[in-house]
Amino acid sequence: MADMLTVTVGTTDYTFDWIAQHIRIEAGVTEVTAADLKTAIGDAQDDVVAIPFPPISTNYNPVTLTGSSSTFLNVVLNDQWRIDSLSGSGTLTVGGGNVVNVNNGIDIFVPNVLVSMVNNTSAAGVLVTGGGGGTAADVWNYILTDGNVAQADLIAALKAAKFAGAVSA
Amino acid sequence: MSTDNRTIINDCEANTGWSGSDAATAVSDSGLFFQGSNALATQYSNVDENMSTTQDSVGAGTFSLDWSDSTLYMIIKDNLNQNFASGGVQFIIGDATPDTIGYDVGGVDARGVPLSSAFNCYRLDVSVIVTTPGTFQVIAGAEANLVQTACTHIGYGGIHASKAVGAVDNCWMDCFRYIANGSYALTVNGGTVGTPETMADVVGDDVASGWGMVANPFGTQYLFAAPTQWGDTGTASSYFTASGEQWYFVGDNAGGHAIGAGNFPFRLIGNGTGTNSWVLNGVAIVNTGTAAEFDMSNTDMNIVEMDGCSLQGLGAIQLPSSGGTSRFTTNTIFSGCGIITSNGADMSGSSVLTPAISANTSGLIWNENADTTGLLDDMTFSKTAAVAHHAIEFGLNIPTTNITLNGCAFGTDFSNGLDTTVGDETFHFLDTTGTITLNLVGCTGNKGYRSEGVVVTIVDDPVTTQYTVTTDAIPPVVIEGARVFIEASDGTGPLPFEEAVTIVQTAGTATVTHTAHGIPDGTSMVIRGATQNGYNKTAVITLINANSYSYTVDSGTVSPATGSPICSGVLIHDTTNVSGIVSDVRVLSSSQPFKGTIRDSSGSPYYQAATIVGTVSNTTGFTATVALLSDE
Repeated sequence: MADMLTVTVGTTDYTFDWIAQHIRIEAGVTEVTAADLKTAIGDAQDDVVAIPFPPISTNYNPVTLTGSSSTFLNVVLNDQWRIDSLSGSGTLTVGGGNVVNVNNGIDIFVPNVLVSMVNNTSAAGVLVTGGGGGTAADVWNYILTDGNVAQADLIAALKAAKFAGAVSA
Repeated sequence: MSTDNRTIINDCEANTGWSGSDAATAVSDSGLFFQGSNALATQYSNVDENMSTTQDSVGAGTFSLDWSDSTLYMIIKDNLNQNFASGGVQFIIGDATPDTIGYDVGGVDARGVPLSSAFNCYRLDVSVIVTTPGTFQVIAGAEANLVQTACTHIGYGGIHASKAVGAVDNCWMDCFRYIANGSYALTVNGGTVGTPETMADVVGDDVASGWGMVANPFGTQYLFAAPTQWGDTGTASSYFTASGEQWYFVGDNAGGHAIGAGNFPFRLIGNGTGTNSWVLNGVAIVNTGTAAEFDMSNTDMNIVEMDGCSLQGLGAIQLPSSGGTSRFTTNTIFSGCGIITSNGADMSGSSVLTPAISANTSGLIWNENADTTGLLDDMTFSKTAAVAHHAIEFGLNIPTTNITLNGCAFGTDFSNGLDTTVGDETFHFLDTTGTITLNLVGCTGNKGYRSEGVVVTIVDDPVTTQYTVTTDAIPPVVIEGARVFIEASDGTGPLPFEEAVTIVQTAGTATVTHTAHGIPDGTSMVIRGATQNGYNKTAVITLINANSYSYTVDSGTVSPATGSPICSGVLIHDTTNVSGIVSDVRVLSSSQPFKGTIRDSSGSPYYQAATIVGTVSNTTGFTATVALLSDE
């Protein structure tokens, strides 16, 4: 059908349905990362089928705060887009970043009583590599000390941190 | 430097072989000869009188020549003639029988080409000797018995308006020549880059040699009595120029006997070694009598430049070929001429007015495999009354996709009929198959067409919508392969915006009923809202009529479409080229607001999607550059 498209990232098929606004994860898949989801959405959105439709998501890419910490990748699904597991049992976990819906927050799954679905999000919005904690202070330090920061990166960092609760309006 | 290519049959230097109504006396008084150093003086009265000779003065013997397809020339000084209709000036030829006939060629009202010292050049095209005009005086034998292929006499006859008084000669004969039809009697070449040959030079040669082929009666006016070619057929260079002159191609005897059609040719001819140049600026060429054909297409002519000129009453004209060092015929008026064939050189700013052509032919032929943009810009065409002809014929060799005319004016006398066969449509397409789009930018007047089979789309005053997509780097780098989608964003423009339609499907063809959609064939629509997803897509449509079109869907799509299908017009649905550009060219009856998106996110480097909005002006189009932000 013209409003559906399947793309593959790694070994996982993602089927996009622009009428239902569902991203269907193939059966048997138990874990989806925010990065793979972003790649799949990008692939799908760039297709001839998708071009008449508004973007599926707005993404905020990781921004390095210090040598050991960065903000999360934040994938914000637009409109009523949700994730749907085609599995008949088991678990589907979404992690590796924050995947949320701009209207529904962390409620990003199509209800499915047969599958246990988990959305791992972080209010901190900071990813720490090798110990040490990223804080709001890290964000401000990044903003104030990084002379090469691009305006777009600044905005992205602030939005990501705000979304994750690291800074307030 | 000029050359006379004709053959002298009698130079009238001596009276050997001459006989007739009077004696012929060689005279050498100043003003009484034009060629050589003598002329033959004789006396004519107010009755039909004649003088002729059997003598080939060059060969010093008699002659028998085939003149059946030749043009004869004579130089005469005589200002007492009756008018043409009364046989005032006669060109005499005869055979051995003898059948000797005086063919009427001129008179006091048809003076031929006036030369210096009150001499005149008269011509007789033997190939049309009876039909043009068909009047003659029989001197001996019968006209019907004249053997044109074995002529043995030549001379001059006439009837004077007044009776001769006393034994005083009153007319002078000075040289008889001939040349086969289809040949060029006069060759003009020589000159240098710094000192090109001019008409003053040509006339100087003519007078010095006693040819009588060109004349300069006064000022910048030049008369041509003979088929002429410019250029060098050997290996040498030649340079000719003229500016601000008036040329007359005299295809008859200024009235009187006319040269046969096709027997008054002019051409430019070069060679593969030397440089041959012919440059005219502000020259008016007027053709009287038989139409002169002019061939400027020789590809060995390095330079053919004609600007601000005017050609009136000529026959078929072959314009310069493309290429060379410099070839064009710009800002030139072709008025009352035969079919003009462009051979690819620039003729912008020129006019083809009231051509002398037949029905269902065209004033201008374009048969080049090249777009007309920049070559036929700003031209003006007008139609000849009572003749159903076209303005432009597009031949079999034109591009197979599209051609563009810019700023042309066609007036309202050509037909507006689209794909009609009256013969007076503005354009005539000779191709029998395929498709062709004719873009008319800033053109006025009627724009109908006749096609011999090719499917023609006329796009009148198209505008360009163009996006260039780059990175946000400094300096920006163009992005190839970015997908650009632009559709109507509201209903104020000419494109449909979310208009309700009905759709049915048969054998994979979805037929859309869409009242007054206004969408041209081959453009795109975006269909949304059908319950059956197979109908919802961006599709290139095939026009059926003003209220319906079709597009391709899966043959299994349930028919008819249910839900609330709606359609919007799409301006662009394409990916950027190697220059980062997508564009659309089409006619918009009013400005078109649009919305859309640019995406390039299916492979590294990834970019964030951009949302675009704007308005395409129906007069100036729309051009913008969008920088995509990195999404990595």
